[in-house]
Amino acid sequence: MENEYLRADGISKSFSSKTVLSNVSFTAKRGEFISLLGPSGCGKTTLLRIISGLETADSGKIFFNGSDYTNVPASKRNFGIVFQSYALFPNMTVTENITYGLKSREKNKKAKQNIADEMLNITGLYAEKDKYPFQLSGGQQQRVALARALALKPSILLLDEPLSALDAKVREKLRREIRSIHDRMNITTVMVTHDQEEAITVSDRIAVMNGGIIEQMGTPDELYFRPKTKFIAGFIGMMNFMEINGEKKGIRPEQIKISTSFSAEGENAVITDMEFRGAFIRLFLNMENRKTDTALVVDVSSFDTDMSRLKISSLVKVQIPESAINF
Amino acid sequence: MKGTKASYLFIGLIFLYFIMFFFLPLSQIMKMALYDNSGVYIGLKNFAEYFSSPNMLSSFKNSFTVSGIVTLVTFLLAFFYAYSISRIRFRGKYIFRYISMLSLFTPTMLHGIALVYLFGRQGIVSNILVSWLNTKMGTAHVFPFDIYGAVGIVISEVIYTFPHAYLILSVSFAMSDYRLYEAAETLGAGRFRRFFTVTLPSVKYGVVSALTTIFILSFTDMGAPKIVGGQYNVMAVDIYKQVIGQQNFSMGATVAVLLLVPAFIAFFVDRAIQKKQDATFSSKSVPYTPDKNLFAEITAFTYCLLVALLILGVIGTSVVVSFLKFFPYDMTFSLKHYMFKYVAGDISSYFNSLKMSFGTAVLGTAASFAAAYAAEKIRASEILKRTPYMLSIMTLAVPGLVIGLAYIIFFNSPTISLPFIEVKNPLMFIYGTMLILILANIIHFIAVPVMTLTSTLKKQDREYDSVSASMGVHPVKTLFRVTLPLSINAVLDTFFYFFVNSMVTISAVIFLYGQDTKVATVAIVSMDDAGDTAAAAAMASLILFTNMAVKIIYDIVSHYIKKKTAAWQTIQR
Repeated sequence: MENEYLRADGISKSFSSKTVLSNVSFTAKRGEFISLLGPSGCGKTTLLRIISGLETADSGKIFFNGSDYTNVPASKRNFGIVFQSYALFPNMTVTENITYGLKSREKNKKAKQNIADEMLNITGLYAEKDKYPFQLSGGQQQRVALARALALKPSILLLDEPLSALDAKVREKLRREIRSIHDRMNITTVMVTHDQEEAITVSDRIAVMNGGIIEQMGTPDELYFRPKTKFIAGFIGMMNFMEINGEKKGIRPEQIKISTSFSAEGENAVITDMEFRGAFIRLFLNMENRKTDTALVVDVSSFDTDMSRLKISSLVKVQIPESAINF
Repeated sequence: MKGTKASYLFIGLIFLYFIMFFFLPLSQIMKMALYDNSGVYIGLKNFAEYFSSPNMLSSFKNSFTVSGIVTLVTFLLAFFYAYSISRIRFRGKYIFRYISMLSLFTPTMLHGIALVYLFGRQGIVSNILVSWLNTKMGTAHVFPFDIYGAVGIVISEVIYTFPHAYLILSVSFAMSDYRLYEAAETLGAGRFRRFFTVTLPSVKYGVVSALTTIFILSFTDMGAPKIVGGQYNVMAVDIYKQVIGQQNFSMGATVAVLLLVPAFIAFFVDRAIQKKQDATFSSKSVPYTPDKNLFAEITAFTYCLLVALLILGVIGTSVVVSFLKFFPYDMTFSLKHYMFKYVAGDISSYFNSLKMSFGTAVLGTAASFAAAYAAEKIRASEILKRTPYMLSIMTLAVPGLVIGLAYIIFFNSPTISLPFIEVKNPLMFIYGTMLILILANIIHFIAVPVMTLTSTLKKQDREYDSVSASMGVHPVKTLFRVTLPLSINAVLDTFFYFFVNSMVTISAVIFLYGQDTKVATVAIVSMDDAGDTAAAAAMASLILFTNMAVKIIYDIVSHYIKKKTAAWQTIQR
């Protein structure tokens, strides 16, 4: 049961003849951090809403802790949700927002206050507790939404693109915070995101979705090193596809070795374009003896003095490694 | 999406409401037009009779003539007024906007009465001014036209329809995107080219909407023609005469059906246009900021001043005369006409109007909120939840007179005949009560509030309800703690709209008032009929004062709410 704390079983859903999910299944262990990753329109948010009970699947079942939750309404599931828009109530203070869901039968004001204080401390919002949402920054609003969801001590935390409305810097900081809150409260979490970097850095396991199905589910390094499909390979990190000795292979840009000396081993190539990316330089190469649809992408360290002398139309030698992935 | 039992019950109740108070009464009027007065089915004979009667036919033509002229005149006046205020810089715009709104606060009879005082047989202009000029200059001119008739109706209706047209057009002007003007300017387009290539296309939907609105309002109004129409008959007054004067319900219903046809056509034209407008407007539009141009500023200011003075002059005349002892013989100040002694109406009708308007405002706000809530918040299939919205928008096509007549026919009949069955009318008891007046007013005015409230609810985050549901919070709690507080301004608007419109309306209520529920507008008509014109002016002015006072209260309350909610309301919510 611990291994199947949450289980989606053959979920299908379509909206007026457009199929959004077809026969999707996955499980989450207790305390696990799962991401549903995919491009927009892949059905990830719909799947999350079906798990939450806000949407009903056309077919398939949702199990929680061994019992069938398919027909349990959202209000009875005790799953906490954080939405992309946060959906904070603008007419309530931070504290009022956090305590909104606490049942009125919990007459004990003190108990309510205690829960609010606990959540304010966990999310680091204590100083803002009497402010209204519009007085807070995007990141702070996000944390209020998180605190509001956590206040009910949910069995599962569902996050719908929780960081996508934030600046890059804030996003990076908050995703570490979310992970650390998850670790401290040991709360099973399912997060929807379209950002592969976000998914890789915080998740225990990732379900990569495309066109209404889960293409592959696994740990971040499994997906990176052993992608099962071209889509996964291209979606998690960057991947070159080419034919080597009649076999279709995938090679990561950072696996390829470049040399500027003519005496070096390798195939001839010419640089058609290059992008400075900070820590590395991304080169786009045209191979002399190999026909490819797209340019070969190679990343080289920007601290390598040899490399920093490269220009567009420079000639280089390219060494393709043996350890490429087969497709 | 699946809904709960409660949500189906809620939508079911709204359906029932529209069936009972809109569709069934309206269907009875259609039926009535096909029967004679003794209840025998005669097919289209009523219509044949209508079009073969020279009197009726002339009313038919008159209605179109008058409304056509009113549409053209009001449109031109309002277009340049709205253009001036939104596109040209000058001071005092707030006052001009306020004055243009004044006639929303008056019953149309007030304009008619004012015109009689100005241009009637003993009018200020037609008699006093002309004879003063004659003695001054030794001439013997006679005032060139008779105000009773087409001219009087046209002027009254222009003043009545002006604020409606102005509002629609100023919204259109406000919506157009300044970035387009900047783009046109950088591409070298001059002032006139910009007007024809950017301004006009961006307001074209507003123009059509204004034209249809003006036409329908003047086409279906009976207040002004009743007072100042004289021998010049129009369809709206014909209905009144047929029903009240001759008790000829089937001919009344026939005219009502004929009145409905153009109203429906205009309604569908307007709807089709509205859909297009929604599609073109982008939320990223940048508001227009006028640039300096002294010539345009002086022209615009003068123009607005003239129009405002015209409106003020007409409305002011009725107000001033109502405070004079005996116009035109004894021009001393007096409150005598406000005592309503020895005239064909009394002050109780004013209190009835207050009660009716308050009741309409309370129940109407609740009903329109319910319809908007169903459309935006209830979890049910898309068609099911859009229907209450569509039903309330449809009421826009039905003139007040037709609603009034439909109600008198429907609620006065002991049985309701549906296709194949006949049932006892459970609502006959409301006939002749205050309640029937309130219900008629709600149906008459519900469209605009439902549109306002729906767009307010649409702006709120859809996930508020999802969040609440996921936390196990009851939807009713969310309604009172979140949805209502966030819609408070629109709710207040709605309340105000129902109140003010109920105070000035005559069309629906003239058929429906009972012994103890005669309202102020009805009293105005009967006082004017009896020749107590000054008292009629006093009653009309009293309505104006009340609405102005309510407007002040409304402003205070909304200011207070703004202050109260400033803590959480962002600058542009």
